[in-house]
Amino acid sequence: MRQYILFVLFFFVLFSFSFLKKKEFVFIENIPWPKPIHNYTQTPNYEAKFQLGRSLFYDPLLSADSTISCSSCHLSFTGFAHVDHSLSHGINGQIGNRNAPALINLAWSPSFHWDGMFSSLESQSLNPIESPIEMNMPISKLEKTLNLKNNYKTMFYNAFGDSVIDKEKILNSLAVFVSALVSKNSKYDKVMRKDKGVSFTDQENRGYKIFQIACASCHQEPLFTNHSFKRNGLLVDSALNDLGRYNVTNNPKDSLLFKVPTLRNIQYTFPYMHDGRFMRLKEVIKHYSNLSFKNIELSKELRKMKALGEHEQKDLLSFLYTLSDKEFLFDKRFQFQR
Amino acid sequence: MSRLLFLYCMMIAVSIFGQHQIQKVGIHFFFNQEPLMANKKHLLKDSFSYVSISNFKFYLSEIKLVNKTQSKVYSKSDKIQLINFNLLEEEKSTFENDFISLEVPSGIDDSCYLSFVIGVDSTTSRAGNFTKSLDPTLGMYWAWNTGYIHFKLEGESNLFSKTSPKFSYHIGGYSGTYATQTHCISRLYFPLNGENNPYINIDLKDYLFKMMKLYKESMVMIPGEKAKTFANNFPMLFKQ
Repeated sequence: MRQYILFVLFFFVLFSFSFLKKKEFVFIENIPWPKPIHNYTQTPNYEAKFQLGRSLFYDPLLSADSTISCSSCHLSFTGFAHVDHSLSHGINGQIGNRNAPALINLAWSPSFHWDGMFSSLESQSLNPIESPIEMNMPISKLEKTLNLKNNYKTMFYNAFGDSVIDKEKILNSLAVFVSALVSKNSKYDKVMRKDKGVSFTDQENRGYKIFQIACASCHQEPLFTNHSFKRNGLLVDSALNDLGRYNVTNNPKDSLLFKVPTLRNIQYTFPYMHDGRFMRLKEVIKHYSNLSFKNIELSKELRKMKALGEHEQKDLLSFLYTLSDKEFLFDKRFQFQR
Repeated sequence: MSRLLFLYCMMIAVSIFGQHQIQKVGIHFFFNQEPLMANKKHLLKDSFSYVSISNFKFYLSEIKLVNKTQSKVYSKSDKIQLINFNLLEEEKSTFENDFISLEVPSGIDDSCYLSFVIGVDSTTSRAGNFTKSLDPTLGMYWAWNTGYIHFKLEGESNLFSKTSPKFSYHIGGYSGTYATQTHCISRLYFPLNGENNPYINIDLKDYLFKMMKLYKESMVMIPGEKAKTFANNFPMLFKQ
């Protein structure tokens, strides 16, 4: 009798193994990072410039009424994005017409802002500083203000060997700081590097496969953006009337083209799109899933997208969460120094 | 001897389990005495005007259970709690949303009041301790110099404009003239059936209408005089 029971048990166990799902194979290749376009690490007095740039970044003195700093719209803990605000606000609570983008891996970006208005990492910060609805501080006035501060004169001397503060030095040190905001240690990165003990779950694997098919043409690895400008089917907000890149080039073909943002730390950089119209990542995925391939206004990559089922959307979301890099988000070097 | 030991154990058991201590105080949200539901259009008397609330979060601190004159404190909580009216299902296990964590000792009845501050104190705002309810990824932190948003209320109303009905009130500021941490008290209600937790009521209607009358703008986004006025009127939200 005992033998009979053992025999049945053996075959039961053997039978059960046949129902275990095979892990779906996903091709994982550690894609090498390209060379950064904006690399200041070899410049003289780099660390002094980094610290100076960080001080300026967090200093409300850069705004007309000393209330707004760069960090007011670019919070370190949320990928240097302006979280939970559809449209960013500046001096006197004035509301802008766009959501402040995340400042992640800008060292690799050939252009800046949602419409690519700037190709220089240094000159791009002039825009928010001088904009009347952001910090409203003419750069010439900022030069005078900083030149009256002994602590800044010392920091500028340490960084540039010259205590006279001018626009070029201000913008250069901000660029040094911002270019140092590098995120490359998310779970995704650890899986790509084959770090010990780190692997995708089954759901994340499935999500990665969906990502590679549905999203990677614009959100290319490893930066998760190809820095191009796309028309992604968003209807124009009639209150904002923002035509994107057309505002820069005046070329009708560029109407409603907006820069492809990085998906790194996307879990924490809500809300989404240039005007922050989507609060949740689920809404973004749903938007792309509902695009009609017949819409000839869409950029060509998006016309080929197939609708994702509910489970596929959840899998994709699960993969996108692996792009969160808490070491970057909570890196004390990038925070306000208390 | 064994009888005495048994009696002793029973006494200990009764002392531990007999004093039923509730750990939660519920919060019931209303708009004009109607249960508040996220994004639901609450119609006003004219049946045309409406208000809908999409986002309502606020910090509670210095929470105490007190008598009417606040001369006696029955229990208190040192936690800073973030109350989020519209918490997603997947977030509920992580944070409180519609209840306050607080011991309610036995013998407490509806003659008691809940005393609390809406907001985060200045020491905590400056400390840089970004854990749990103070996590900046929750969307309630501005910057190092402006601290936390103590109270966030967002929604839509055609009382503003048909084309731009959205309103956003972000009330913060932790020090100086325009500090907006505000002390409030609320009556504590006990359910008639005695089975559920005691609770407090929040009704947004009178408060929101007063603010909308005072300030025609639909946005308050920074510390300052307007935010201070919003904060000074927080006690209107609670029945006393």
